[in-house]
Amino acid sequence: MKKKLILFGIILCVSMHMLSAQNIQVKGTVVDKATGETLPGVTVQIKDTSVGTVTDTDGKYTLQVPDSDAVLSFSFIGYTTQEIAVGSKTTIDVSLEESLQAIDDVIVVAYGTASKVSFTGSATAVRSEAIERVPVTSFEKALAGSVAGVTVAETSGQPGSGSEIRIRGRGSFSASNSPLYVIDGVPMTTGELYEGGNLMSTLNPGDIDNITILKDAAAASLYGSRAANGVILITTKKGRSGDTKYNLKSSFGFSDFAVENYKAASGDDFVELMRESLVNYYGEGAPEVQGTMEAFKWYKPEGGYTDWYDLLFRTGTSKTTELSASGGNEKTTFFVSASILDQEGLALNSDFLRYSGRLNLDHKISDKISFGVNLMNAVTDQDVANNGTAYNSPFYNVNRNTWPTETPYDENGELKYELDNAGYYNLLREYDLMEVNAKVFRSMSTGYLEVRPIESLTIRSTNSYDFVNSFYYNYYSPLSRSGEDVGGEVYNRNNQIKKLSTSNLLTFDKTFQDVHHVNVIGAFEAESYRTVYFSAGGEGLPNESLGVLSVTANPVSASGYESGSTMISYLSRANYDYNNKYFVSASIRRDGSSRLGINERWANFWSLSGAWRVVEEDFMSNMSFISDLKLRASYGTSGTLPGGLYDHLALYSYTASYDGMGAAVEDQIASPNLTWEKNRNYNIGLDFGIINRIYGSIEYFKRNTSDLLMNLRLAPSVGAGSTMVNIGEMENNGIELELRTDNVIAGDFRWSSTLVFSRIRNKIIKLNNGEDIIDSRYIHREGLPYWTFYVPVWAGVDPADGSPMWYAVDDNENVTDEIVHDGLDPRVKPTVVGGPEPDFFGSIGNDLSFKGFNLNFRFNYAVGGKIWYASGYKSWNDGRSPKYVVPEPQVDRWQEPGDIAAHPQRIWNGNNNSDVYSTRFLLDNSYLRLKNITLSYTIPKSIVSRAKISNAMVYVEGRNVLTFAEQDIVDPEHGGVSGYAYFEIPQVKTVTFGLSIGF
Amino acid sequence: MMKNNKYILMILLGGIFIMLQSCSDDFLNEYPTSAQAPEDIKKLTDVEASKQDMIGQSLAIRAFAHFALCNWYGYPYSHDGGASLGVPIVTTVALPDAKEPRSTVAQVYAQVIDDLTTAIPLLKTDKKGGKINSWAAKTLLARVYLYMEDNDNAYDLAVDVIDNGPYELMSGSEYVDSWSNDFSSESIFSCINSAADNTGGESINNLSDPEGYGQFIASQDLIDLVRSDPDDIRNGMLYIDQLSTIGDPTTYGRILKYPGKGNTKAIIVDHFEGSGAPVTSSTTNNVSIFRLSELYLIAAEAAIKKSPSDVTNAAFYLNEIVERANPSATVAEANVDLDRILTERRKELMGEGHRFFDLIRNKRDIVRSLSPRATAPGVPSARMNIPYNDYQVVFAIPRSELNINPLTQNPGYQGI
Repeated sequence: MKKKLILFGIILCVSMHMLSAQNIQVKGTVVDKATGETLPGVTVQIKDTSVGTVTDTDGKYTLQVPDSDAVLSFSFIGYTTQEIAVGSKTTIDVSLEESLQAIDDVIVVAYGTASKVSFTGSATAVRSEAIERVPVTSFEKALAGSVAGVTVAETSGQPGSGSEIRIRGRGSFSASNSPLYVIDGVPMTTGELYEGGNLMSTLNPGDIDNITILKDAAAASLYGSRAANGVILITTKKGRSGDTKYNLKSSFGFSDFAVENYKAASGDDFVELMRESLVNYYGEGAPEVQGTMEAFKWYKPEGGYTDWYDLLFRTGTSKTTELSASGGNEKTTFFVSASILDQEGLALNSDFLRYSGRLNLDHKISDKISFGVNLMNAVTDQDVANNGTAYNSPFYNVNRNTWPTETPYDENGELKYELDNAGYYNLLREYDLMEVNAKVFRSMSTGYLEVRPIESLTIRSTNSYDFVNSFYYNYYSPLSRSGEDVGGEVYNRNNQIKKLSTSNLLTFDKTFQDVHHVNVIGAFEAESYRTVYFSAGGEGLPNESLGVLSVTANPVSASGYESGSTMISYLSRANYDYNNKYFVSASIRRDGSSRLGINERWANFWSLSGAWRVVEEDFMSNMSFISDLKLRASYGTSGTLPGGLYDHLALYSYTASYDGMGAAVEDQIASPNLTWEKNRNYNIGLDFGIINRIYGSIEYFKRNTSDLLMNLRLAPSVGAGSTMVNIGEMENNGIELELRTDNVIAGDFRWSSTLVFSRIRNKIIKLNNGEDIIDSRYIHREGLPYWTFYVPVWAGVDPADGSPMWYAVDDNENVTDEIVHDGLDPRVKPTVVGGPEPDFFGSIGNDLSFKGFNLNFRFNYAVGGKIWYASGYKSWNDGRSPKYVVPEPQVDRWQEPGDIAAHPQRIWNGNNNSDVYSTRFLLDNSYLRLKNITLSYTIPKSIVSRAKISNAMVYVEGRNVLTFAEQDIVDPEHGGVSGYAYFEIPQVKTVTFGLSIGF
Repeated sequence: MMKNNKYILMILLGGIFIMLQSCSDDFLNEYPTSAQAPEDIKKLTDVEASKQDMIGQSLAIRAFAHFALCNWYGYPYSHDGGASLGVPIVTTVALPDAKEPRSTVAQVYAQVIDDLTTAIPLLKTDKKGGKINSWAAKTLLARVYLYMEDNDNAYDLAVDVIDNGPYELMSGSEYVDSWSNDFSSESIFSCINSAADNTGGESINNLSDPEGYGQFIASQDLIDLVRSDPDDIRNGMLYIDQLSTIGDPTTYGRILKYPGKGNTKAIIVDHFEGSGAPVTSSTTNNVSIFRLSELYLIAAEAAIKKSPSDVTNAAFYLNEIVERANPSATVAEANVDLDRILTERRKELMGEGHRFFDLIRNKRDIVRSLSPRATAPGVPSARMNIPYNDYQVVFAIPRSELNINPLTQNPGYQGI
């Protein structure tokens, strides 16, 4: 301790000495070039030193400079940095030009920041504006379409639900395919603990300053064993010195389904189709026809047909309020925020509430030593509507069980106990009698200490503790259909995650002889992750108003365990560049993990990359229209850990029973050679700028993943089912294009456009012994994409007799011309029929501003690719399953010879098994969707300043408001990455009104 | 029946490896709290006597698993002295790439006998019901010898258990309702099944319940055989409808050996015919694996088969079972032969998984009669009678095994 004090003392003296050496006083005002308004918070720094200041609220600064050779650098986020030599001037006024590339100048990268021009890897930065206005519970949803090579599949419309993110395709069979999230330098626990436990939704998007998506080896390899699926770096907002700024943001939004999913036939059509199917089966005038119609009450009820969608769903709402303050002085800066998000989902039982708070504090003890903390607390409380095919899932119910001819009320106006239709649940009654609730509390505390003993060396230790408590509650009242048999049911589950991590980083950065710039880092990291799980369930509640475990008569289940994993890492990276023209970078990381077999515990990951700024070459000097041209290439490795914490161990589980007690059975065979999935990344990219109006980059990548973990089935005589082994191999390659053009910059009017284009091809290279894996409607086969549909081929409806037709498939899986008329014919065989991956996808965006108005909109598109209408099976039944709701497309059915119809003749009990799985349910899925549109108006300062408000903005934002799709059956994004659309509650469209006031 | 036996076997097979591991005591790693590594299990028992007993139980369970699997997949020992192929012998913790070949039936039986003779002295002798003790191991060994037609050893072991074991035959009066209890006075080893095990639709009750899957229910032939003596207490094991005429087809053919814990026959009948509720969910029942009655019948069969034949003792042990069911039905010594003993086994052990093996090991053809409930539309008439040496008296080696471990397929199944 004493030594440290002495060190501090020395540092302090040195600082004092430096201060006393400053002897020219320079002052001035910094303004926005376009508006002429003063700019507070601009960093004014003496170039190549750490000496500097920031402008005050009036944009004024004063700075002592050592001599007239000094060069002042004026930088401000969102503006182009200017450098001005001091010379003999003592007053330097500066007009900063807003940079359209703004954040591109300096981007957050792995273990530091880099100027965009010097970065040799592939990364895309997204600024906060793109995220914070979108009323989503978790920020990833706002990324959809805005980054090339990144797929964000938002399959569920439930508030608080997660998304599937894939960066450059699917890399693994059985381990994670999700990227690593790193927040302020600390890897973050993510994922969905269970229904309603999406951990990312604990993070308030409004706290995010910027996001960088690392895609290639040069960018991501430094994260080693967790980087194979890319890395998303999140940087939260920080304070700036100057007067404290307060910001109040509030919004209110409405939501409805983005498209009319699985549209049902009208009541009249329903009755007509039911009658027709009976007539086609029993014959016109047969007594069974009228008898059946009456038995099922298939006629228009007195009060008209029932619109079940209307009864079971509502208009969703979203309310947000956020208050933040930021500011500080030269020593201490802070950002503090508090926010509330309150969403009501479309399903009556679904909502999401979040309270979050954050404090980011940075303090300079001296020029050499600083520390800071990032503290985050969040509470979420989420009600989840049952999903999928549960009898009490509203979306399932409304698409399967609710006839328009039936009402939820009996003749006395009371809610029916159950539906006349086969006794299905009357969800309107059930809604009040059940609850699925998830409450998550998260506290993430990160602190750092940074020491700069000499100008070029920084030592930083970052330590973090992330605590998540997630509590799940499931209740069925004794009166509910689900709970009545057992007298009511309560189930609780609690899951705690505790993650402790430390990262100790040393950075050396120096420029020699003005042209040789070297940046070297080295780090040691360790991480411990533990979860504590406990659950209990009970049955038999004394009455319907008490739903807690302790009053249950019969506690039926209890379970609890702890599990954990540990990891240790060493890493280093060296960057060198010559005269801002040639750049090389190399990195290495060594990771050891408890999740791996004892023989393969440690592994090395590395990368090599380089870039050449062609534009800096002399021969480019006469091509001044090219403002930027950079070529870069990288190669490197990364990995993926097994999903299971203990996959490599021999384990006995107590799942068997002997003498009435748990008995150990051999459950898992040791796999001591279990190792990382290996990822090899190749990337070539070209960044360009033309006449300072067109900016873009084109990239080609190839990503090969090998040693993929597969569950290897063992011989049954061995006695254990399967074991994890490293067998498979997969490849993704693709082309990415990101383009931005500044179309018009004319006075107050500005118009810029963006284009994002990605083409990704996935292919399985190797499976165990080359054996196909058939996985319901998919086949995993060498040479084909991982997601490949495998079903028989539909040939439409025979115009002669309205029977269904399929193309026969021969033994070699070739589709023949032969037509088969019965779905159970052995020639109706599955074959490879395409996949969900689009040929290409991306977005087209435009940003227009005039004076205070700004209009920003982005269309996302995907061309090619198919979606499996899984819920169509049984729904497009052509009369086979009369209990089910009739979808509207079924109305286009064959009625008389010569009809060219989409669906076969409707026959009670079915038409030649027309509803067997086939390409009939495989829909072309190209689409164009207005993902985002925002119109905002910034009220002129001259008006708001009278109310002591520094800025005020109002906006209206629309999300998913327009969809043009090749098929109109399901939401084009409903199928997710695998293109499998079932009974999840689909995506919504939202219109939000909001305002932001700064004072 | 087949499905259910497999299920029980799966559980038992899993137990084989308990305690038999020898690994180092070092832990280097993170371990889960809800499962254990072999090293941990080894540490559990430090009392030598308990350890010996646990090893004995494991060996006996291993023997039982091999014996049962061998009988399903290999031809009866009695047909060819065990020369045909049985199942792989697995006595160590397998490695992922293990591909054990099939051993002959004789080799598997030798392994089974070896395991049991090793286990018997290690095992405790007190009554345990839900655990294997030395009497249970001896019962299994007696059965093994009987199947091998080593009649002297089978007889001696059966008599040993009858004379020296702590078990008594159920009395006639308690016979029917004792099946609703966890154990009876003659239970040597039962597979305990509790509500928490929650075997649901795959429970032995549901399989034996015509209202459930009804996969093993009495055939008309068996019903007629039992009913031919109206005073036989085992009529009570049949559901009430069978005692009069064919009644409600949904309950017809049920053998009340798996009524659900606590559900006496009266409760079951009231549940179906009246408005009563069963005491427990009908999917929970212990499954009797070894009970004393079987040993009397083993003794009788071994005695009659011995050389020279011991008809006196055969009649003695047979009549203990016959007279319990109906004291006035005594079988005269002159009428005691193998068929009479097999008939008694059929009546006494119905619903317990013996009849099929009793027929084929004694080279008797299987003559099937349809259940009155099911008209069995799926059974071709040509398969109603199956010769004892038909290829289908053993299972095919499953495809899931062959895909990984290229075992020799059983005759008749090649190319399937």
